Amino acid sequence: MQPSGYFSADYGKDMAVVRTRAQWFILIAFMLGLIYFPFWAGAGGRGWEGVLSVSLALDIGITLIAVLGLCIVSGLCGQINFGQPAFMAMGAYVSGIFSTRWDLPFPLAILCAGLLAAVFGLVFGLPALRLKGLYLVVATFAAMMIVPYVINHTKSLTGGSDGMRVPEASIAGFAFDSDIRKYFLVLFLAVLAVIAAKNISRSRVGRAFVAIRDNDIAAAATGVNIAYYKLLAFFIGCFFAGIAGSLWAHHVTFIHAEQFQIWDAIWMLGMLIIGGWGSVSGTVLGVVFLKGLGEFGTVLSPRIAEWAPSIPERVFAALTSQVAYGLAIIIFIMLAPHGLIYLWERFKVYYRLWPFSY
Amino acid sequence: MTDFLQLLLMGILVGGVYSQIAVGFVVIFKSGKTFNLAYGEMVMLGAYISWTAMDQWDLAKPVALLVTLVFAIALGLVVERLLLRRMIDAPIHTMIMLTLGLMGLLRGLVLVVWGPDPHAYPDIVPTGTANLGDIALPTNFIVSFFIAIAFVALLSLFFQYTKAGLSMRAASEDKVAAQSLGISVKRIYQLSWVTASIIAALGGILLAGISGINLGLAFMGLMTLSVVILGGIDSILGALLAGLLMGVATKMAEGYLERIESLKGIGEIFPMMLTLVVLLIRPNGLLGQKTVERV
Repeated sequence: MQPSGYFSADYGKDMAVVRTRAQWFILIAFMLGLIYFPFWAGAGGRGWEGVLSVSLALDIGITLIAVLGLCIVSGLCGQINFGQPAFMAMGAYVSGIFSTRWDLPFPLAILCAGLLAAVFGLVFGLPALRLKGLYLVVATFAAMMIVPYVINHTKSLTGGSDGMRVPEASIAGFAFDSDIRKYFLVLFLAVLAVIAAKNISRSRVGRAFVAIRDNDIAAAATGVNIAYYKLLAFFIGCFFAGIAGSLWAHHVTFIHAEQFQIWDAIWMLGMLIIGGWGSVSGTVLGVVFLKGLGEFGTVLSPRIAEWAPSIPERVFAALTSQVAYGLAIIIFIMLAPHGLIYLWERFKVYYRLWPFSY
Repeated sequence: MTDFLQLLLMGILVGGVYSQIAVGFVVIFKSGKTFNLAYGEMVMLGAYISWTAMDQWDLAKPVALLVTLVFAIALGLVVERLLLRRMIDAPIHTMIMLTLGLMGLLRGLVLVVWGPDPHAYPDIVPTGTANLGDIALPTNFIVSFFIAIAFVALLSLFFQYTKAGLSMRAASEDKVAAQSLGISVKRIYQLSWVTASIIAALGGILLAGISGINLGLAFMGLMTLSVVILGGIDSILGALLAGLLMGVATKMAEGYLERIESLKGIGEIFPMMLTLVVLLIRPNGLLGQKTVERV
């Protein structure tokens, strides 16, 4: 649904993401707001200011890159990937090993992390050629189990279950050691990732993905090379995961196989679903919403515990993370099964047609 | 040789319990083409409820069993009412997400009510060790195995010969045709979820007898997912075979492969690797029905 008064005079205008001048204005204002954000917000903390902190924004940015990868594999191409944290772990450890052992400069390390995670993704994408639905879920779930095991058992390379120290990122001497510097690095890469994902979904490749998701036999019948495109989807999705993992490693400087859990895979799929299955802007919404919910809960639970001291702390820890997650997912699927982005689109149609919106 | 037999028999015994839980999963799938990723949590909940009944409320064992069953029935009905309606013809990711949401909810519930500490489970079957020559087998494993196998056999008979079982199979194949024959599909869904919930609770009791009360019981649920997939998601016999196979494979891996120093801990992931390999050869599981896809 186009804004009223807008006509596409050529193909370029028809395919454009940003159409009117008002939309350009909003986009640029939003980007400027993002750039100004760390100077306005605190650097992290446990109070109310802590909710809108730079470290939360960093976390959101890194998760966003990984979930964008998931959006491409699962949302666009329909290959449900339950193992995205395992590929993030791959990226994190590759980046760590390359920067500590072979002293690779950070830009090369992160690129290698992405590429190696993508190649690894290809290996786990091979079952996707034969398996569908729940069978594929279990196959990717196997990745989630095998990767931590391999990490823990190659002690000489990865430090095994002791974890691994990773230096902070630095480009040509400029070290990203403070939260604010890391924020800008992550912001830059996240914006690139969003642009890349959006363009992939609008291109020929993206259309092939969607065709495979909707009905892969029909897609094959119309000439789409399913094997190639399924593997390509895994390659791209895991590339994003590798980049996100590498950023994570250089942010927390100490990585351990325990940081990449099954529960994270579930959260990521949840972000995808809540935001909108297969929509890039939806993914952004979903990530921000669920991460915000998590942070809100972490900040809120000590407050409520003070207010009702008889109920033990553990009740709130559990309540705020798992129960909140479960409830959020169930309520969302019941009320907004197509995700937040669909609600937004309906709202836009409503105000564009107002007062004739019936 | 005795080592091998010991591992084999232990594997079969443990596998029996896996099979029983896996069969519950298959029951849900057979009834509405829906799958329940929160099954592990339902197993865990059954175990915790029975433990509370026996330990905290000091009820006699049969009464505790009854309480657990009543609770399981209630849980099955509630879940069916709230969730199943949305899942019936939904795309796969909706099903996954709803049941994952349920998983988080149930796990959080267990954490809130009982806390994360493990507890010992009272012995419901006589403990001790039976000795067949050089092989020592704990008796509670043996009894659990036979209970599980008996249950699976009963279930197969149920699906094969009783009217309710046949109605469930009919409803899963074609809802409209089943309705046209006078089968109330709504009742069938309720019945199948209640059945699955009861199976889960019983499985939880048996499993807790083996590994105690702790949060790891839910992890078993994810393992049974791979058992179900290995056997084929719509085959009860497949679940049985796959459970036994998985149990044997795990024990064998623990026994033999873990001797190699660098492969310590492989017992945990060996079943998953086995599932992966089998899936590549038979994409619908060992005994699953080959889905014929049409455009």
